[in-house]
Amino acid sequence: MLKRWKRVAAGIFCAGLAAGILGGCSTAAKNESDESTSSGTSSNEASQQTAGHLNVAMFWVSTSLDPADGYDGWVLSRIGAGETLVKLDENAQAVPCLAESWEQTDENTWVFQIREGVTFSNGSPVDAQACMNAIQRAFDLNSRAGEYFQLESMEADGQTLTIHTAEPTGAIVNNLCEPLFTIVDTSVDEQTMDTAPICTGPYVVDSFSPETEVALVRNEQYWGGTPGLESISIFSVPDSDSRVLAMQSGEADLTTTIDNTNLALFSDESQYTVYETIGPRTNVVYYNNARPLLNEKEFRQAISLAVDKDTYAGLIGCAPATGLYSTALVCGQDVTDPYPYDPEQAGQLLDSLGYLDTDGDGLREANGENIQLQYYIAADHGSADSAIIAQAMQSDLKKVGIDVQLIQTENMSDVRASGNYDFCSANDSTAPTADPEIFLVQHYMSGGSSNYQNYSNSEVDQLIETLVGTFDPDQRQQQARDISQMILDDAGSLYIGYIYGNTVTSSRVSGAAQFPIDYYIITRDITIQ
Amino acid sequence: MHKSKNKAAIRLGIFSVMALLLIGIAVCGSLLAPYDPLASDYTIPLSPPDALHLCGTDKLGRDVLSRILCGAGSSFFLTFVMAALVTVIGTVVGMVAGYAGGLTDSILMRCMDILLAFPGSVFAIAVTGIIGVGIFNTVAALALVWWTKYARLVRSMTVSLKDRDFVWQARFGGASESKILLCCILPEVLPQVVTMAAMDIGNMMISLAGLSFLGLASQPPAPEWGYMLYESRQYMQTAPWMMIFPGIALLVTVMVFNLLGDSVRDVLDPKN
Repeated sequence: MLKRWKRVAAGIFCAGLAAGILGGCSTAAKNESDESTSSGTSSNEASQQTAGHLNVAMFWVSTSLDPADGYDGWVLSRIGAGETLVKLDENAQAVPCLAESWEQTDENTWVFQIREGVTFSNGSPVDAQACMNAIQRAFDLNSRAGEYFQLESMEADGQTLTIHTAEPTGAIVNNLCEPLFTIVDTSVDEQTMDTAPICTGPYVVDSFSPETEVALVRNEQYWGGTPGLESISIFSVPDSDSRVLAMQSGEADLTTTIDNTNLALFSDESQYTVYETIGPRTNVVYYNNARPLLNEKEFRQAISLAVDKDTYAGLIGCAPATGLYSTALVCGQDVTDPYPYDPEQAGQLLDSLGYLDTDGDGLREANGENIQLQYYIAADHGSADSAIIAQAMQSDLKKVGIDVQLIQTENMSDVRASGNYDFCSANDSTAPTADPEIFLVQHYMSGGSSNYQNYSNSEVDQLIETLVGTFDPDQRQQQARDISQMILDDAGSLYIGYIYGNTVTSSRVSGAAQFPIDYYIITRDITIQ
Repeated sequence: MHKSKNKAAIRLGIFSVMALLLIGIAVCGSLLAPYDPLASDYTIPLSPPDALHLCGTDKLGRDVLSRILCGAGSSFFLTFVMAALVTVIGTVVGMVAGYAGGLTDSILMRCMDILLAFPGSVFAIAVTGIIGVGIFNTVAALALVWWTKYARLVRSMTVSLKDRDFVWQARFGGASESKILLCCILPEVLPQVVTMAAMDIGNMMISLAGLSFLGLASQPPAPEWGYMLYESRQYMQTAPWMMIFPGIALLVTVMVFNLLGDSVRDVLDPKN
């Protein structure tokens, strides 16, 4: 008898445990408690010693801190260690950082004046030669550098750095803000570059464990004044829900990129401060312009008309998109959406194309077969947004008689490379350096390196080339706006919403900010009580 | 002795009725569902349980109760498909290996050892990674690792049965080997296999839901419990009903099948 009851109890326990684990509740909570035992102990000790210690739950800590390695420079910049010649401010404008001023002397020549008196954290002076070496290193080690500008040669003379480009590049100043071009001391042992690069930022890397934790201490030599904190612990918490729990438990004083739904949990202003701003990131659905049906402009227009995208933007907590560029940028303003939600017009357009539902099953046919489009989704940047958009779109397209099959994939880049898709989701920054050019070149120029949606319009190609050779910033924005309007008129892709970037801090923290361009999180101005 | 057997039979009856009830709900889930499980209503996303939506709505304004009821069908169906697959494969391989002995036995057993060397779920994740994501692929992947324990059980029983007198009698009587396997060995082995399968159903359901939770099995927008839990993860604190109700459904189902498995064992156990 006893034995049986033991078994029943064990059964209930197991089922409960399993359901709990599946429910994610205990998974998330458990991860958190693991986190707190491993990284928490050290940080708690630290916070007892000094008041100026900040714990940060970061969504991504890279495998190395070498700015020239992949996108690792972004992490170096976000944690307040790395700095570039120019940086992008709260309005996404390029402002002086290590370079005091710059001017263009001819089509291909740019002269930067490096700030006097700046030193690396090891005390070595930052002169034009040091900057040149760092930029050269980025070009030597990372092929992405060449996508920002074609380097012909550089000259260093005292504090004057001259950059000669191979082709006229209007975006060079903005593109030098990309943390790939972090000014790092190249004279030190190359071995230390992965774990403790010597840079100029307000904080200096003290210790680094790949993908787990970074400890930083104040840079006593910092050129921009004394940094507001003694030390910082950055620990990696890739899951947004876990970051929420880390904030709620007091484990973290600052975190970023919380899922929009959960921001409501931080509405108590006496406990938390939330900073939110629209960045250049967009939720977009790419149409494969080379696939049957989708290669017809009218068909793409009908799809765009049938989709209630403003409502989707509301569901996922984005600002409804009008075009390629978010309203954080000048070129994103005053763009009109040529195909606002109008399912009736979509139906008429499909009727006029001859795609009719002849067998009465509610689905339209093309060439005697039901139209079925394949929609690939991936949890881009750990967000569920793409799945929500996809399901909503599937349900809306069904209403106009088009069947959509949703396929989840772990490896979106393979799907894109194969070209075997009709729709695919993406969370793309359309102006990573606050300049509109690179996104157009990569995504919409015929043969562009990321033009997997096979968009091709010779007029757009020409206009992009003109944009590349234009230097006047206002003119560039105007041109980018015109190009994006043309792509929209072509119904080349479907832009759903502009994503809000967010930073949440405990109320003890002040001086934090949410920058539109997500290269910056930790700044000199952050202090803690 | 007699009394306890009686009690076991009563328990078996009760849990069978409960299991049948659950299966009934699963079969006619779409008839019982108050709403279309796929119909989204953007005006009421994440609304808490109320009279209209007893279990609340999800992010797209879909009725959670309807999704649970309709999701039961696929969860049950897949579990039973998987149970059938693993018992059939396991029994056949186990009987062949046990009865043939020698080289055949060694080869089959070593293959099994190789499969057993991998942690089940990890292996299934790897297999779905190779053959592609999808519900039937996941069932196949899980079945591929799961049948081994049935094969082991059947093999060891077959080895001890094949030299028993009644088997020798059949052999002397001129029965063919396949006939011996089917008529002498199988009836002896079957009760044990059925017991094991009954006790295993809950585990299988959890494993399938687990892979679905990882996004490897069910594809959106199909309602499926594991995937519903995955979808609800993000709303754990803001819309807990999205997680609680599918969680309860899974818990109750797994519990009923576990208890049913226990009582099947009590009744069929030769010791009783």
